[in-house]
Amino acid sequence: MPRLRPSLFWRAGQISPLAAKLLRACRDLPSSLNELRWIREHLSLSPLTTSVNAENPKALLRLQQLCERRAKGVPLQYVLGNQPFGNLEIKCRPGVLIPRPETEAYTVELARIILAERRSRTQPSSSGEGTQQTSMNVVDFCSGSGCIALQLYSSLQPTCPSLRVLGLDISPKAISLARENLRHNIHLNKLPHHNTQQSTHFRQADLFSEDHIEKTLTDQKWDVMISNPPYISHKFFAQQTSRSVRNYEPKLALVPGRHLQKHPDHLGMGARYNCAPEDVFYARLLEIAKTLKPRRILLEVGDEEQAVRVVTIVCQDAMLSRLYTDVEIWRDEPHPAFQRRRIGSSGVGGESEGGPGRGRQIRIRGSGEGRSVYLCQGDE
Amino acid sequence: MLTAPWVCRSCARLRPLGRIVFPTSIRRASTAVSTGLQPILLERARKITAEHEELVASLATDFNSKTAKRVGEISRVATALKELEDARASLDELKSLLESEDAELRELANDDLESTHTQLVGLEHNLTLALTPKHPFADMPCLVEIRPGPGGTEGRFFGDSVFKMYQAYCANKGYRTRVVKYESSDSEGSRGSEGEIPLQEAVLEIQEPGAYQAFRGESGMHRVQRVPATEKSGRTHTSAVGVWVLPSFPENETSEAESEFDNPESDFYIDPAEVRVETMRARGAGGQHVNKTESAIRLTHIPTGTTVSMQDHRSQSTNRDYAWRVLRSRIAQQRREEREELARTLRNSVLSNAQITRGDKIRTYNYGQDRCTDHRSGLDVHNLPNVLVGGEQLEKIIASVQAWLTEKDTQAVIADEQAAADAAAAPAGGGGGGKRSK
Repeated sequence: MPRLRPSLFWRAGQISPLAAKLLRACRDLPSSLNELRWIREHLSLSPLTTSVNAENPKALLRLQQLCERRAKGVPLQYVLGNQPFGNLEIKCRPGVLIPRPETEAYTVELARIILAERRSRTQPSSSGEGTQQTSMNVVDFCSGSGCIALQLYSSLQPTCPSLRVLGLDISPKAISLARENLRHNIHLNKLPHHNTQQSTHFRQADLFSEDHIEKTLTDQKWDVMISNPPYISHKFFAQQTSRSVRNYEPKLALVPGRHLQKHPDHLGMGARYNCAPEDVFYARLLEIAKTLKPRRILLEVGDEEQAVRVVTIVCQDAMLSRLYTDVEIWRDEPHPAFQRRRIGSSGVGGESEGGPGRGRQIRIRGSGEGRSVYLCQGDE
Repeated sequence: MLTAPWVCRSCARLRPLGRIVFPTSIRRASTAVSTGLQPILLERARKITAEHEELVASLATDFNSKTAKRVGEISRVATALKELEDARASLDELKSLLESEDAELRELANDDLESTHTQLVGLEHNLTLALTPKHPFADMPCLVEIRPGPGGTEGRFFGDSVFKMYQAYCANKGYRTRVVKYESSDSEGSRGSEGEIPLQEAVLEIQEPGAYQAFRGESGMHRVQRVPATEKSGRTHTSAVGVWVLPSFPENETSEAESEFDNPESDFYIDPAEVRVETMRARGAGGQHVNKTESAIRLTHIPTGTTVSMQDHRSQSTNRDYAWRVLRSRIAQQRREEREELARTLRNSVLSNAQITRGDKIRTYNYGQDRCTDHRSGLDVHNLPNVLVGGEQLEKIIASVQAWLTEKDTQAVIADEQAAADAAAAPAGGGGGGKRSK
């Protein structure tokens, strides 16, 4: 971390001593002022500390404590205990990954695409068959705080009369927090109460255990598969992650374990995934996709290179490349219509020789860093 | 001994007149000129009334929502004209009574004449108002944007005062408001004498329908003259703050608003392809690598170069929604202003010189003299602190501006009618129909 100039601390101290304190974690003046304001706003929401001023020593003390914690480098989301995500409020707690704004961006975009397609399908044939295809099943692997599952549920719920969303995670902490988030948002009136046709559930399951997955998933047809799995390599974890991520967020949710690549028990002893260690979750998820055959798949990735590697896995598999004719890489800001360009498979990289003879067309949408891989089955 | 007391020459000159006339001092700061009912307006009112009758008759046979809407718009003119004509008829009747033989009757008529005359003036005013077209955004809520003019911290501090003034005014009047954006300039950590922050930009949404009409007179440069807190030698500085009032959509009527947004004819329509969206997260890796709480968003409307950036809220989607809202309002206002500009150039009258454009100062807040002056209505009020807390003095100023605006609109209507009549009268003008500003 580069050293901050003392004049910066002095300037921050002129505004508020607390801002100077937050500077240690925020590293620049505008964001520390913003965070100070958000901490104040957060305090003003709770009944005991509605007014943070000299007449309310309790509130001042609380403000001091929260800023103190934040200054130590604890993520603001853990300090305040929540993070807005789409139109929901997601609770955050140590041990569970904090929802990221990029995740929010692609989740909202996916919901928009699904809704747009439903609308165009039901309108021309509103009389008969349109009503039959109304059921929708969504599975979210590595659901963490439940943000993706809950946001999709919230967006799709008004137009899908029959909707089932399932979130799976290996961590019991994450599962209990996700369930709490479901209750919390229902309580805040941001999500409707469950009924017989529409529901969201969270269940603990190990992605790499064959019986867990078979037991929970294979009895049903799944339309959407979405996942934000751990995808950071050990090297990048040490070098590229920010300090507050490294020190306070669960490594389980960030870095795929070394053991996962070597012993996929259902493949038999000695078999291993033929991919980079940080891509092992994608190999496994695409393997599951072959049995579930969801219409759409959306997988978050770390950068554009990783996105290309995931696309390559799809291209090299005969069944997957036949099923998923629309392959797209979404960037941080997947804007619907513009900045959409087509590149041939040769542009993706020479290693995709798996597509025999066919020039694989993939689109890269939006602006920013490569953020997710979107696969969609073509219409028969 | 003098037979008469000494009298100065000027008094001696006045004496034969028998009275002394004091020149009444009138402050001519305002551009408003009062007008009686012009014959040209009466002509127009008659035309509209004829149209009204025709449309009502056609509605009786077959209903058409478009026609019904038009009838609703012009019925105000028709009723006002009818009332006026009734009053005129009764005046004529009274006049004929005055010539009657009966002395008692004459006396009664004389009594009534006075009141009928005053009534007539009121009705004429009504008709003028009815003929003045309503501003297309009049019924909408509004966004009040406050941006300090060029110049140092002083303008920024006063920007904060202006923001607080409008906020307090709305609170006093019971209007629902929401702070959409309130951003201080980060570079300076200082505070003003009354604890103001150096304002960068603030947007206040006033959610009451009709707020646009109530506040549209506030648009323009507000000038402040005072001794800044930072000034050592006690000199008065002058700086300016820009206040722009933009129309906005009521939130709960989403269906109507959305149809407006999707309608390319609407002022509020923006093609998403013409907007560049940037999340201001420039550095390196994102996703799981970092957990910064950056939720800032910037929209750039490429054809006009209008940019909106929003970072007040923790939620990215809230920032995005607000940014779109502000962008839509700004674009709509720009389009409207362009059209008004066009209409103004078409109008060949002195009026075009009297227009207040975006750059002109509209109001001065002078701290040294404890005075607030509006340069359009020409109203001076003292008790500046009361103005700055949004009290009844500010209300007085706003009301005077409203009156001035109405007057100005009426004059525009008269000018347009005159132009249309001239064009119709001139044989070379051919098919020069009434060119009205939409």
